[in-house]
Amino acid sequence: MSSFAIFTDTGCDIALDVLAKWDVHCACLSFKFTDEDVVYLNNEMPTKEFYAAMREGRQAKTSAVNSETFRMMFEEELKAGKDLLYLGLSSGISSTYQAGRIAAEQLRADYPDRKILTVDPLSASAGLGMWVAIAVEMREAGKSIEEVAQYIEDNRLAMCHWFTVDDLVYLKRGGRISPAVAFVGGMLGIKPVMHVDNDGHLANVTKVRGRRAAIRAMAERYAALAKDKENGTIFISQADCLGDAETLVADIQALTGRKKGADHITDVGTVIGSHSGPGTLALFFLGSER
Amino acid sequence: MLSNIDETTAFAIPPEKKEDRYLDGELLSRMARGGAAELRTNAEEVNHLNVFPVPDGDTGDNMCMTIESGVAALDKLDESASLQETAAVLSRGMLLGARGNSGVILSQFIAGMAKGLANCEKANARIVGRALTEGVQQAYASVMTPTEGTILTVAREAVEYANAHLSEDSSVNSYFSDLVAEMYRSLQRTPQILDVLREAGVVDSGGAGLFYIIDGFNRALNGEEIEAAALPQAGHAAATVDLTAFGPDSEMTYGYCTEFLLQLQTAKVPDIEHFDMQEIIPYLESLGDSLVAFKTDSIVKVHVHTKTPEKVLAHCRRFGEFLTVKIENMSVQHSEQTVKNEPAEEPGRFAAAVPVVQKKYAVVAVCNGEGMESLFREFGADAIVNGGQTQNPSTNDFLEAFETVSAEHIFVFPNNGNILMAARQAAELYEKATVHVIESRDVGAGYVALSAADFTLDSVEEILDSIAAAMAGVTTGFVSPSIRDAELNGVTIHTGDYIGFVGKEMIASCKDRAETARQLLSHMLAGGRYMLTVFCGKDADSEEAELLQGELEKKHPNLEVYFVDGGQEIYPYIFAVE
Repeated sequence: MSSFAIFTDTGCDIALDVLAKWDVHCACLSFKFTDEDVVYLNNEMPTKEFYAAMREGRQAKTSAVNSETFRMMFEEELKAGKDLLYLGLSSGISSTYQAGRIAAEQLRADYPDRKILTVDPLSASAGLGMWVAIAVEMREAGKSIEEVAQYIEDNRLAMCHWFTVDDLVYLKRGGRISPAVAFVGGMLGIKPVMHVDNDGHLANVTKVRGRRAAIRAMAERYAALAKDKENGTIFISQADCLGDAETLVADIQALTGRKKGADHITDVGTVIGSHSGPGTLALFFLGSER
Repeated sequence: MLSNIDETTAFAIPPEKKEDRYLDGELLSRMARGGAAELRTNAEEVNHLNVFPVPDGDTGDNMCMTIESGVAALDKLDESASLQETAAVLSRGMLLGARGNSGVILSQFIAGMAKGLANCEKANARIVGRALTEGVQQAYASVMTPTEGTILTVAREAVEYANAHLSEDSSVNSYFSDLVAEMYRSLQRTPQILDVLREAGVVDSGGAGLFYIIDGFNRALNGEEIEAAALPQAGHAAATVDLTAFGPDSEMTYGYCTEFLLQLQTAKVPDIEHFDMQEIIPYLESLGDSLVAFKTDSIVKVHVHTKTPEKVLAHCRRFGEFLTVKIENMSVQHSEQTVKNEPAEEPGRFAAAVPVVQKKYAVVAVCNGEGMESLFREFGADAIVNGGQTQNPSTNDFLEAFETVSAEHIFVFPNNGNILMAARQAAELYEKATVHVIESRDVGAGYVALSAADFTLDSVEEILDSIAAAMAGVTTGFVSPSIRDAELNGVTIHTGDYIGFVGKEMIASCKDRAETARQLLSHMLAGGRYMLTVFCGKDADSEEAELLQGELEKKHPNLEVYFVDGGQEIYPYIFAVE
């Protein structure tokens, strides 16, 4: 029986069955393809099928979770007498966290005796996923809800997000990057290496020639920034490019002498994938700076 | 073209100069007329320079009307009037006639000077220096947010310089000679201060207007008679105003240039003498920009660019009644200027004096073939010099290309070992930019290097490093028909056979083109390569290219392969392997 409830959303790119095992509640963002009028919760379509559709040229749009949904989910736990902590997708990318925060605020009035905490770790994909894993671990170690929230709040800028995409057109379409940045990546054979900055926004494009060089550049970022290169936790998320994730791990091992592989390799789900497209490869670790 | 003339000779005192004398009323009056005539002659050029703060293109006209209004006031003055009286009349005439930002600042400059000359029958160089210092102060004070790199800077730097060179021997003549010389130099520096000027490749228009006026002052002081060029025909401006520039669906972008003289009224403002301009300024600032507002005696002069002139007028009318009001739609003003500007018949004095520096970095690349050209342009080449193996461009071809781009730093990609020298020589000869010659010995290296170059970096060294690093990993191979029979490495090659080579080393030779390409590629791709770019030449055949592409993808599943249309001569295929 967990001491408090942990909530996240599907921006964390951790499979729902894994989250269930961790005893973590998950709010689902939704998406739809622009050419049909069906709204999917993002766990309703296998990622393989989803990326196949995108490769065929179908465009997907996402919708944030609204505060009412959060209120209902939260309330269930509160009624059961649980305190709760919500870790949400970076507010620099989605308005989902904002909705969760609003729901929390409303519920604090109704449940004055319960602790309802929210943290924006300014993280996305398995970067958020790693925070969820850390929270679960701390909870199991007997830490209080305040301690967990405070720890994440204090250390959130240590979560490094480095990623590359196959085609910047998806990020551009979703308005997540400026047209100028998209142009750089639109040139033949040029791949962007990007990260999530201290404001939780996608930023800082380095361009390299070719996918292979992009993967190597990510490994180099790990070698330069990781706090514990040999044993530190590594999460990787990948959108239909598992082989590249393995290459990345091999590159990291070659560069740093690390023996351990990645701690968790997960699919980029439909929420993040709608914006970054098939071929997205992202690396997450705790580092000296983002 | 003035840029070619040594500035010291440009401002030399004419040989038949009058004996140095004190500045008195009669002389100031003559100088003012000289300044007005000189500016009138050059007003159109000053109009052309006008890019700041909005390109309404009337700075020359405005400043001209401003000083002419002062000169008109002098016409009513007795010739024997004292210096202080002359200065005061000139100043008041200009204050009331001031038009436009620069005109208003000019009038304030002269008003400050007049204040400095109060109680003076005549003045020596030192007094003139003090008076002009006061002029500068008043000019700065008249602008809500002074911008450097404008008429203000030109006035200030020139006066500071001339004052610093004052000595026991200084005369009014030597003072003005210093003043004009430094004003010219200061004007040339304005593009270094204001980006908008640098981008447009001009010096500041208001500063140029001031220069012409003070140049006219100086020449009149030295006894020269200055005649203004013929005035533009009446109705000229009206005839070229393009009213269609603002139609039923136009969007109001520039707002209205709004200027007026407000007579403060005792009925509305009991204590006119102590009327606080803060009643007007903050509110007007909230309504627009380029605000200049000041009070002289009981008259308030306002110039502002605003989208809501009606609010400006309604507010100000609470304190008095208007003497004059001018409201012009700046979209129309602007287009009028655009119409007047073309065709530019003769480059103006200053338009030619400053190179058009538009960016920090520019790229010049050598290549051959339409496809190649567009590939290099896509990756950021600003100019292309056509050339290659059999067609080596000259040093002069490079110099001409440098002229067409304008940047602080030019990066040259010669893309051929035989062209490096010409590029290096051109780099040495060229003085308007720092030219960096990239050692790209073939088009593959140049292509990869240029695409990897990160021109968002501030440091030239870092850019050069990024280029060198990218280039180090490239091998380029060529497939070409043999133009003669030859014996190479014990292999006999016949004319028309295909040969594949890397650098000077022949790797493959074969009657069949596709087979030659295969052999060459298999040599080049041995050992850990991850990217291949294939430039298909003019003579390549698309079916064959597709066949090769299919084979490559099968044989090297981890290789990223890009086929591009280079359109180059001689080589049906060029391979760049990374």
